[in-house]
Amino acid sequence: MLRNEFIDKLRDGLKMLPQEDIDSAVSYYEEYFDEAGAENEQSALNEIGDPSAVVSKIIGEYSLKEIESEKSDEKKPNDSSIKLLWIVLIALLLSPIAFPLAIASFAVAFAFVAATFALLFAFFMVGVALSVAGIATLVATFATLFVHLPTAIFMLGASLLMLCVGIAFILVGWWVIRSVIRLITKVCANLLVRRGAK
Amino acid sequence: MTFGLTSTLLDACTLGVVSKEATYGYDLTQKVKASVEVSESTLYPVLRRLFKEGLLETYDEPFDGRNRRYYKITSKGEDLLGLYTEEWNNFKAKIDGLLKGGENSAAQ
Repeated sequence: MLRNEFIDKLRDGLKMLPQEDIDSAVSYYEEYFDEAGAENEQSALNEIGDPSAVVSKIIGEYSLKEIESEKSDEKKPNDSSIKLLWIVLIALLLSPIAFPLAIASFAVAFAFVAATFALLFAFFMVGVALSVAGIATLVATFATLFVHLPTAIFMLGASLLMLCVGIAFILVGWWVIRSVIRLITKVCANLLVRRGAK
Repeated sequence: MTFGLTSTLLDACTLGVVSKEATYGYDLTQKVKASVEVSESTLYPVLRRLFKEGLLETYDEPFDGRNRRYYKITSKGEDLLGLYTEEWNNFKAKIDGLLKGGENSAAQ
């Protein structure tokens, strides 16, 4: 592999990270090859080999660090944890996979994750549906208020009950989804760090 | 090398080398490689992490018409190195004890 090829691959592998992290890695390796000198450059390149091991490790460590800082700062926008999950999943897919077996186990893991998310999403949507029904019933309560009071009271009770259960479902569902995203990201990031370690 | 290097141990070794004098990536890699088997690519992620955790700091110095980025240990890094050294000595004494036959021969 040529020096330019190495740098291009490195930059490409890290492209989802903040610019500062990319620049730092690129300038480190540029400097490294400069230090090795023209006569040692090729042997240094040969020994480092494919940049994907470095890429895996950098992304894995970046993600672990991000999860830590997210935990301490709950106000961070939620899309960042989904983006992080995306980054580690792509990095895992692109990292050198030694055996076809790894691809199979990856497929099984992916199916499992997808099923879990479908289940959690259904749970979450039950909460949304209950809340919407609760609000609708609450509106309808006012319509019956002056027609038949006992019906109105019954409807008020029913609507509040639906609202409470719905909101509880939403909150619990949301919390579980966030935790699961974090857990998966963490597992993947650890895999990346270890895979890069050799 | 029969015994492997854990990532914490590699952190400790890196801090140790840098604590003696500020150094740059290539030089550090050569120094570490002289004693233990590490791939040339492993040290950058380590340096980056130690830097982000505030254990190392960097400064640039022009050399030969380009830049050299030096890594220097911080006081937080010195503290952690002290802790690692102590832990390592403890661990080493225990293993030495076991290698010499176990029981209570480990220094307590």
